[in-house]
Amino acid sequence: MTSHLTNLTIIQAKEGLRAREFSAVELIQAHLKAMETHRGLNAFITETAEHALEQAGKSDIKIGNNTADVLEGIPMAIKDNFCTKGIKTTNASKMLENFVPTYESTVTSKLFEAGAIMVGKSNLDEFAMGSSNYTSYFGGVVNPWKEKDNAKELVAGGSSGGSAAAVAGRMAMAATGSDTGGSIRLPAAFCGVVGFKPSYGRCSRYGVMAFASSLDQPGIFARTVPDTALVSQIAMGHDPKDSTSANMSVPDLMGAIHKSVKGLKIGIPKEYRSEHLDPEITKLWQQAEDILKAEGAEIIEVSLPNTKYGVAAYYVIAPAEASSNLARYDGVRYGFRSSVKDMTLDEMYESTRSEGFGDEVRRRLMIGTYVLSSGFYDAYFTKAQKVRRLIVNDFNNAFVTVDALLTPVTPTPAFSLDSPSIKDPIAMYLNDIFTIPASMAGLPCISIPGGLTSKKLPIGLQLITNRFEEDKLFRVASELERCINFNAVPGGF
Amino acid sequence: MSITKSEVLATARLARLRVSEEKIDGYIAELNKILDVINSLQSVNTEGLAPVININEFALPLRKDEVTDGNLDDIFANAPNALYKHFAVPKVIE
Repeated sequence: MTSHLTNLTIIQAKEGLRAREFSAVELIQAHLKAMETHRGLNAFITETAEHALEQAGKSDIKIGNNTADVLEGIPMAIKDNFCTKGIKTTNASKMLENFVPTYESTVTSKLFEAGAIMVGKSNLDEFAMGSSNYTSYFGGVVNPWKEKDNAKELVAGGSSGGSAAAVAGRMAMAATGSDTGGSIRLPAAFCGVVGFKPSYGRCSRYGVMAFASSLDQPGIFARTVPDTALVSQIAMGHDPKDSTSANMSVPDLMGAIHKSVKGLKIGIPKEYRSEHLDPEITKLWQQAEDILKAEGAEIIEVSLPNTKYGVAAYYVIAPAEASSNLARYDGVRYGFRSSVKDMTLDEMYESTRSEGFGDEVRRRLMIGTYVLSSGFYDAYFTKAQKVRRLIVNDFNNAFVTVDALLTPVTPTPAFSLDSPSIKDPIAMYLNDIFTIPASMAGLPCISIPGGLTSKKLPIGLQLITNRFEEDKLFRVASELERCINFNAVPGGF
Repeated sequence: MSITKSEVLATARLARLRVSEEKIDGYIAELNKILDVINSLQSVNTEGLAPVININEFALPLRKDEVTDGNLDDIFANAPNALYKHFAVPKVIE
């Protein structure tokens, strides 16, 4: 019964709750039990079982008197960089190990108001900086998937690795994530789930701890496209508390998922046929192209000539913005403070930041500070912002001809936790080559499971549409999902 | 462009980070590897292009400068050291 409950989609669970086949308390208990069983995956930093059961009791009352909301009783993992009022929010850093927010992020408050129930705060790379989850102060997340006949533990991807692993590992039906250069799409691809990053400005950033403010965008994980649409529909929308939030009406995603791709033009960017791409991913990418063609879409090769500069421009802009955003962690108002005795104020700042931040965060703060420093600002930071314009123009040109782009998400499937490349920052940065450009242009994009490799690991496919065309994105994603019919489950789940 | 020892130390000072003497050479090598990637931007022709600051290019709204929330007790509960409803820091005046 319980494993049956954790394998349901959100849409099935809603139906089961409505028909009184099971209660919200039973649904939550089944997921809490899965969290306990799979604690070894390290998907959660904080488990909120007591809170979840209390909320489930309230949901059952609402279901009983027919006042249930859209996500009533649905268990969700919340990435631990979303502020949750009264519940520890660490950003996977020693710096915020004991931080208890005094307010709720807009996205989580909307989800909770719609009835969703938080089962825990999910693990991530420290300050969301990483693509392996290796940089978490609380240890890396283990991917629920393993290669066939190989017990070696694999990374869940980053930075929202805990969220993706929680959804893939049947510990939550959906999860929040945040994506700066690929932090939702990459772990979604590695864990065989759906990960959606909306247009920049679609989901409020209020209460999501800032990394690179011109790129950060909250988004949603779930196991199917319709489930992702249902939850995202709630999470999106204008928020006066975020000055970059788009004051526009939210498209009807639940309507879009029933439309066919017939007559749509799908672009294949030729620059994404990269030498770094695993041949098995190339094959599944081609299969997806054939599927869309068979369903009546027109396939057109397009060019995004400045793609090759994406990673370089990103690794100027994101660290620069981070070095400014993370200046607030000074040991004065909240967070960690060094306990070294008899320090001056300056020494206290320096010791606090040197002891409180991990290696990757310190490395990015150094790069960011360097590219913003006097004498280098124009040569690096302004230059990167101008190159960003070229990347934006590439997409604008492509969307004159096509409705959506179909690309890979990652160059390879999930790699092992003891892979030597995990400690090489440049090798890690290259995991983001296919996800960074759409982030730089603020475009909506989604990663959906495209199939399994010969070693039985999931591979993701990325769809990208023009700014604020999330409805078109979900239209293509749901058609592709229906045709691929990905129903593989990681072994033991 | 590559980064020198004195630039690493000056940058660390600006970022309020400490770089220990035994780690500095490793740091220089690592930062230079990252700068090698970043330096590929120098060859791109960006003449006449406006830098992207806010991708959506909406006018940023302003709000009234007034207190809308905040409970001092909750806020001070997160402070590493708070005294008499103030944040306490090491002495700055002799």
